[in-house]
Amino acid sequence: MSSYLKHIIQGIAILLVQILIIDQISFGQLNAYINPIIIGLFFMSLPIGFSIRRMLFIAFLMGGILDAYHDTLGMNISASLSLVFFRPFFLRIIESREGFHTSFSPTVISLGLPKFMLYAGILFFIYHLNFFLLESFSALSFVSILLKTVLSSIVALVLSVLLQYLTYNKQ
Amino acid sequence: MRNIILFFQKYSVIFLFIGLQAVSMMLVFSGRNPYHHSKFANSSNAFIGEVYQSINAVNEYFHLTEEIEQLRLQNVALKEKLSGSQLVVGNYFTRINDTVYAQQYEFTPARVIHATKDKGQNYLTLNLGEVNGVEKDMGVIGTKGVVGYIVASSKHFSTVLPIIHPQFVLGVRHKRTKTFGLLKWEIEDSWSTATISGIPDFIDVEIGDTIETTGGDGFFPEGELVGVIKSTDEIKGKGELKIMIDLMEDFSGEYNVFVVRNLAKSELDKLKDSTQVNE
Repeated sequence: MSSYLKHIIQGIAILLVQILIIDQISFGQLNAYINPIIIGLFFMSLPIGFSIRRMLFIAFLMGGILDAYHDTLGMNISASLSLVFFRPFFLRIIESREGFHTSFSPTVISLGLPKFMLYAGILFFIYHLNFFLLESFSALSFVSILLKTVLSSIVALVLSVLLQYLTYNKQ
Repeated sequence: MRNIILFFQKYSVIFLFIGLQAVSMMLVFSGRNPYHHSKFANSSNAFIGEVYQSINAVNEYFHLTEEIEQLRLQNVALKEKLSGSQLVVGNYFTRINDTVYAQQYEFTPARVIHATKDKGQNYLTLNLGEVNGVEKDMGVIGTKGVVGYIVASSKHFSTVLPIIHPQFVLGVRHKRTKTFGLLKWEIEDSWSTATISGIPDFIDVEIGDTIETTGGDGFFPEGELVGVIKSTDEIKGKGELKIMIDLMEDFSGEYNVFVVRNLAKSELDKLKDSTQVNE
């Protein structure tokens, strides 16, 4: 039960970080291209054994809350669902030879920086690609969509790594 | 039958994923139509409005100087319009009988508590709602020019669809020749520009000319400034111009706006409806 409570607090905390801190950051001239959304970090660091069905419903809920804040109804929901759905495929890439225990949570501390960068980088790329495709929904501006996706994913990755180091406690 | 159930059990995650994605797509595409804007899940929702208001309560101290400057410039512009600062050219004794002009527009000052300008779809959130008489389909103008119109409102907050949103459409006109055109925000536009189509190519349009509102849509009074022409381009074979304008309103610093209530709007809408039925 305590682990559920922990996950609920983590989920609320990451939404607050997104809305109160990350959305307030200005990148000056590059604002049009950098729009990092880090709520995907919550789904990435849930334990390996966490039921995917349950995770899909949580993704729907959290994406919906963020969508209401950003006036982007449905876009963050869709991106979160894709992230959750594709997570197991990329967990396989970073798996060690003996495999993970089901209670293992993939974070930058438990995986180490290089492996986490690979894992989170790919998943953030999927998230932002899905989001920006739905936002503009036209093939005409594909180069700019790709540019937005790559830049936003990199910034989201850096912010997530910082966030995980900052909130890490040794116990 | 058993096989079918087994099949669904085996791939249940995939089906759930596809089902939830379908729901999210429905939400995305229903949100694409501004007239079916969701009443509940947008930034005019009471809870979300409260959060944005408290963020704004902190942020507003950081741009006070800029805000004062904007309002000062607006004051100067308004003062110039007053009869007191104009030279009387014609008769000395002019009688203004106000039975000819009845008031058509009312303005309510509002504060922008949340705004975006760099997203693919931008919105503004205002601190006024139904309690203050702010409703859907009211125009919003800033300190310099047109901002947008209201698409959703809750008790205390409302959401504005600004010019810099792909669904924004407004009939405008070229001030000098009074030619009508259609204002839109195209993909290649940034937060400070917009595109006008529908003005014929034989019209004498020059760079630097002013674009203003027509007053015919019921959102804005006639002659509100929209922008200044930046470049013109002939569309070959169509006989019309594609005009890029610099927007009058500065969407990078949007703090004080005015909600426009058109007292004759219901009359105008009734007339429009009656003509559409006949078509």
